[in-house]
Amino acid sequence: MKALCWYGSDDIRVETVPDPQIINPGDAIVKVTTTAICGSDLHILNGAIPTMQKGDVLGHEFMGEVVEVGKSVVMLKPGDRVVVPFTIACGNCSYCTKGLWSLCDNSNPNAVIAEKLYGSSAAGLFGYSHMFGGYAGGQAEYVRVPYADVGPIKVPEHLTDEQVLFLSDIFPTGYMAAENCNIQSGDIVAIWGCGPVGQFAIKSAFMLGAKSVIAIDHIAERLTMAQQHGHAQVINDEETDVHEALMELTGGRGPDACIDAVGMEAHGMGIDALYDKVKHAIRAETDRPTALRHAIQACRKGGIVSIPGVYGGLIDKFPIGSVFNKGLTLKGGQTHVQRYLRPLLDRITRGEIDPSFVITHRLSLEEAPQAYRMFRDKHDQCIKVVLKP
Amino acid sequence: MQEQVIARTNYATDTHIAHGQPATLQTHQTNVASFERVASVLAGSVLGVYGLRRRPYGLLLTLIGGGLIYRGISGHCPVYQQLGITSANPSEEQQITKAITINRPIADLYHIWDTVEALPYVLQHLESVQVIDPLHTHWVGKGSLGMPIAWDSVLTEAVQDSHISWSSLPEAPIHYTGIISFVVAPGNRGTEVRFSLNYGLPGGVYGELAAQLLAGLIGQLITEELRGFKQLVETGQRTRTSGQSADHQLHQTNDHPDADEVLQGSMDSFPASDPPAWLAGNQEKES
Repeated sequence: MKALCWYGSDDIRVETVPDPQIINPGDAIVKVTTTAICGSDLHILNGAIPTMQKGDVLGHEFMGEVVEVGKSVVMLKPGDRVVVPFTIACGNCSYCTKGLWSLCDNSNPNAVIAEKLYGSSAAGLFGYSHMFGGYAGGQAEYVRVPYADVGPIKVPEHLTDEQVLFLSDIFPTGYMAAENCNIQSGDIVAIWGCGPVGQFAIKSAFMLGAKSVIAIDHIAERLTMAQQHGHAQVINDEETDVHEALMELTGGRGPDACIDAVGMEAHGMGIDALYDKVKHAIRAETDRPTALRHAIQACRKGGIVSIPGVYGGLIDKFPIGSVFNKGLTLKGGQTHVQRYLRPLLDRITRGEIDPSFVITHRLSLEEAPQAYRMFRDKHDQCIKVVLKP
Repeated sequence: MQEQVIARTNYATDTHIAHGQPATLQTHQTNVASFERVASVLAGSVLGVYGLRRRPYGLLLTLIGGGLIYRGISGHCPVYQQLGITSANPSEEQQITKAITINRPIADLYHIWDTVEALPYVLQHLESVQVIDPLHTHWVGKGSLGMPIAWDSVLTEAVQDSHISWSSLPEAPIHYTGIISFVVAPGNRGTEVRFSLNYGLPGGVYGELAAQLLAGLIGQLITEELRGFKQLVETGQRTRTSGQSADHQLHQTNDHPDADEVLQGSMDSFPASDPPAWLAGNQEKES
């Protein structure tokens, strides 16, 4: 089959690889009908994610048709149309049974690596390095889906691929980011990063009762989308002092909750961003936390900072004094996608949201390498790319 | 997820007390193991003869050789005495304990470990367990390099839904005690399972050093076995990614052609990280 494989920093190619096979009785094989490039895939393209191996198949946002199931699978049969969560969960460990799916104890066969880095290992992820299990990803014609009875959700025929595909990651991720803000009546939520996750966080914050949402970015088309589609107030961080603007918009209090939808490779402004760039370049710092610092600095006293943006390792100049003295709460983590599949599919079915609004480019799997670069460099007003194998 | 406890028991001290030897007599006591005494005499003789042929500087070698011969014959080494070590006594024991929480009731887990002949189905590094009589069992493990390693055990304690312990036979050169124990985890989290291994190797300080060096490897092995056991009893299958789709033209040129590169990248990014599991060659196998 054809699959997008990783060979090194800025070196990804579509190659022919062996078709996936049922390895465990709980597996299913899915023929991918639509897949997408995630902002977090760009961290891999840029070589910022360790323990990648040459030839690894990328991609964790995908959906398709079940073509084969292992002998213990009971919920799925060939022909079923499913969306697959990017977090792999066993469904039986104490975390899964409490709904903390992305913290699954069992789905990472390389847990020992993650334990060295993080103390404990979280769930395995599709196409996201050997530290997270070494699972082959879904930017391919076929993909092996473990724990097929637990993760995939069957989707109704009348909804298109583009309407339901983002249940695999970015819609639940934006939603959980907003849910983590514990939004109360009258709350103002500020969101750093107007990429696809930021866009869904804006929508979700309103769904969960925010009075207003302030979106921060410096890419014109993303700010436009946030404003026109998300009805957010927007701040261009290249033109405006974000902190001053936020204070003014919130009556000097600061936003009640702040969402960092940027993550480890922030393109921040100012002296601290330059400092991070240098340290990152010489590998003295693994992540560049400009957005996170600003979010902490701006957040009102007693507020919540929610972190859907991906971080992998260590950061410098972390404003712990601000967190402590303002009594902030920090919330993060990979998305418990399985928890949100049904309620968010219901919202789509009821017509409350059509997630396809973020799509700007539709390309073939063969064009994936160019698509990655276009997305990374934000050429051609690219916000979200979907690929057809 | 796991904890590691390394404790030492100084059996050498216990022996002295048991034999009632006054401390003052220990000054010229034997503190060199018998194999080392033979080696000392041999090495001393060679050095002595070589030194005699290389006058005048060889005289120093001859003196050292003489010292080694004395050390070998008397069994007493003043350097060891100064350092406070001995190679003549049993080595200090190592203790390793690893723990994991499994979301299953105690009774289910205890039952599996109580059925020792079935353990090879849940532990990846066990080839077979043969029950000789209710107390005695013969265990065969999957050794590295394809060589099986085997040992005999005697059941020392079995308390229903609490713990089971096994020990080596009294005459075994390597003595050990293994204990698997089960405790209800707080807050409906299932069962806390702990495996403790106490072991000592012969050879005094050298045995001790070897035992310490082994402790890391054995600890990792126990962790992986507990993890595999958990996966099996919680999900009915072992979590595996070996055999996944990838650009195999690259992967199959040798076992892990990119291992160094990946490892280097990993080290560069995260100095705290260890080599990926697949570098150690311990890929998961179907039970």
